[in-house]
Amino acid sequence: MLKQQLNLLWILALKDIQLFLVDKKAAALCFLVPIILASVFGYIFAKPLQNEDLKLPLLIIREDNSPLAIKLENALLKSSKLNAVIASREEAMAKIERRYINIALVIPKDFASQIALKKKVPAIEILHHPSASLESKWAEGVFTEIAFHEAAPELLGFWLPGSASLKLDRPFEVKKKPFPKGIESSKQAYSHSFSGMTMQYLLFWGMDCGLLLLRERRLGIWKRLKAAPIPLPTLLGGKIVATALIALTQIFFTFSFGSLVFGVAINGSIIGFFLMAIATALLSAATGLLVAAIGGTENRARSISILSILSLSILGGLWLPSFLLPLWVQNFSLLLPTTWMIKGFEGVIWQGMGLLDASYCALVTLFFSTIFIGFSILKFQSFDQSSASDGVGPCN
Amino acid sequence: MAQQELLCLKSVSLKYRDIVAVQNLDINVYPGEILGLLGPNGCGKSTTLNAIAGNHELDSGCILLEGQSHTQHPLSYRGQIGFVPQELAFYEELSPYANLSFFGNLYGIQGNILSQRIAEVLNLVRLEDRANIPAFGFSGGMKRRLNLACALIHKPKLLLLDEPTVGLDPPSREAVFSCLHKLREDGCAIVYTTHYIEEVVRLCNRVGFMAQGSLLFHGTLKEFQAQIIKKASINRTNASSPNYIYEGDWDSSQLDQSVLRKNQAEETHSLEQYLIELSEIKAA
Repeated sequence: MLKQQLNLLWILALKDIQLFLVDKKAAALCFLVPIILASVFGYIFAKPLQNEDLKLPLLIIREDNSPLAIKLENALLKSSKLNAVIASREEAMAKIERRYINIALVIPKDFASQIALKKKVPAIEILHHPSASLESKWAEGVFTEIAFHEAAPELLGFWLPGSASLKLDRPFEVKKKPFPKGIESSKQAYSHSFSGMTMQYLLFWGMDCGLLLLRERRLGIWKRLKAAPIPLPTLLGGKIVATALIALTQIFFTFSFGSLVFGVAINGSIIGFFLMAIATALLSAATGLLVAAIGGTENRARSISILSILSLSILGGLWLPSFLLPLWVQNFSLLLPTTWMIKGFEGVIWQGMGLLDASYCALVTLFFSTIFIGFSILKFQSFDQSSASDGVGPCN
Repeated sequence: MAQQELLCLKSVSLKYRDIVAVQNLDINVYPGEILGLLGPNGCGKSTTLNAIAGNHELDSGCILLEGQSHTQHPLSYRGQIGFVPQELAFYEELSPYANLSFFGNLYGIQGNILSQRIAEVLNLVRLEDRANIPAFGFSGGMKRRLNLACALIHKPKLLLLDEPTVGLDPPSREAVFSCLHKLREDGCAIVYTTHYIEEVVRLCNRVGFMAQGSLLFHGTLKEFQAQIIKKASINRTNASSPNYIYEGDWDSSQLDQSVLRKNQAEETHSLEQYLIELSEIKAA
């Protein structure tokens, strides 16, 4: 009895394995995708530790013209841990507000004289965007190391005469100033989570719609639709519009919930938010269509979409802030639509991004959508021309 | 005055990769007639239908519908065709009404005209009492009828049916036949693929017999009966399990591909009927 059941179980399992192996390319992708994902992301995350190319972008504002301040500035500029540039306070504030950069370190006027006069513990300022509190700590640590390394005699001289009060504390203060005001950093986690995870879900939603399209092709509905007086771009356009509209509703629904329950608010341009929502919804549909067009069959498309969505999500900064990635990955990620999507979305949600910058991010996202849709239409046209039926064989 | 053909296939050839799927096909179909395309699996019937529907590009030849080719006027060409693929090509999650409404809209039918047309079509395929129930729970026969209905919503001049009775029980098959008779009476031209000879004999005015992508025979039903069926030999190979072989008297080199085998128990009845009809033909 047991043997019979086991035999039946094996027969059923064997059938599923046979089905799995029917589409050999899809089967191969199933094995390749985890290897590719593991290898690529292992390489990406291992690389910074090996070659230390993880540099913090930083603006230096030197308001003190003393030799000590100049010495510290030069050391900061030369540091292998920083990607430092000199700026004025106005320039720095404008750049931080528009999120071109997150951190600026200010060596204030009288920094050296306060040390010399021994009246007051000197203080540096770190201006940072409210989203970049982690980066501000990073900047603080690097500056402390450089200060000790480059200017120990000057800095410690403040303490040395009174040996009784000598402590090995840092001999200067750091004043952190989040900028611009009015953005609550406590909301950051929810805001990033609601932005990143919603974007990622929408990519999966787009993928699902792409798979549905392939299912329609397999089941024959596609034949009937193609036989109707509808041009192919319109046929695919209908799918895009439906997917995008549902995605748009999902965005509004998710952010309404986030707003009501977790206080996620739109601190930037409201029109910018709507533009980003439309661009993001369209991109989710376009990505699904692209995956369907490249995959050709459901099984292949599924593997391709897992690979592409995870890559787009991680490299685009949907999971982690992109500054944690190596510089070359950060540069490369500018070629990914998700980078612009999250930048625009996070920008308008809680970083106070204005309409102009949000429009720019939305336009770039729309540009990617257009490319994806155009390519998909061409690919689907070539399917129809090259296959007798369904792209998988003759139709008799 | 000779009747103008509705559909005209001239030297149509199609390849799939390097395999010839259809070659040098010449077929005419006239309004109010049913052309039965007969042949074994893989002979090119469905490919021919898909080509007529405009779903495949031709390698050579042309297909004209009322003198218009698909390549020159794709939208108006397609608008005159109703296509019933072999697969169930509708949305099972939706009701017949919703499916018909959707396909009607695709052909530009809207409002009261659409509602009226949906009612007519549901009545024709005998699904009026199931109009608003999702189709996934329907029987096979009901699904087949809905599959047909979706192609009728826009009153096509030409209806393409790809083995529409596959897997149907006799009552459901009769329902489809009755529907097709009604459509023929209304002047609709029908191209009907099947490998059941008795269906061709019952339904069609003209018959085409295909094998290996070529048309071996094309003529009226009478010609088909005279040239093919009368000369046919019917061998019962196994008395305990019905397994009939029908062999025409065409070129013996083509015989292997054009042999029709029927060995499904459910078809015994119709085959028996066919044998009776055949003997009557012979007696006449």
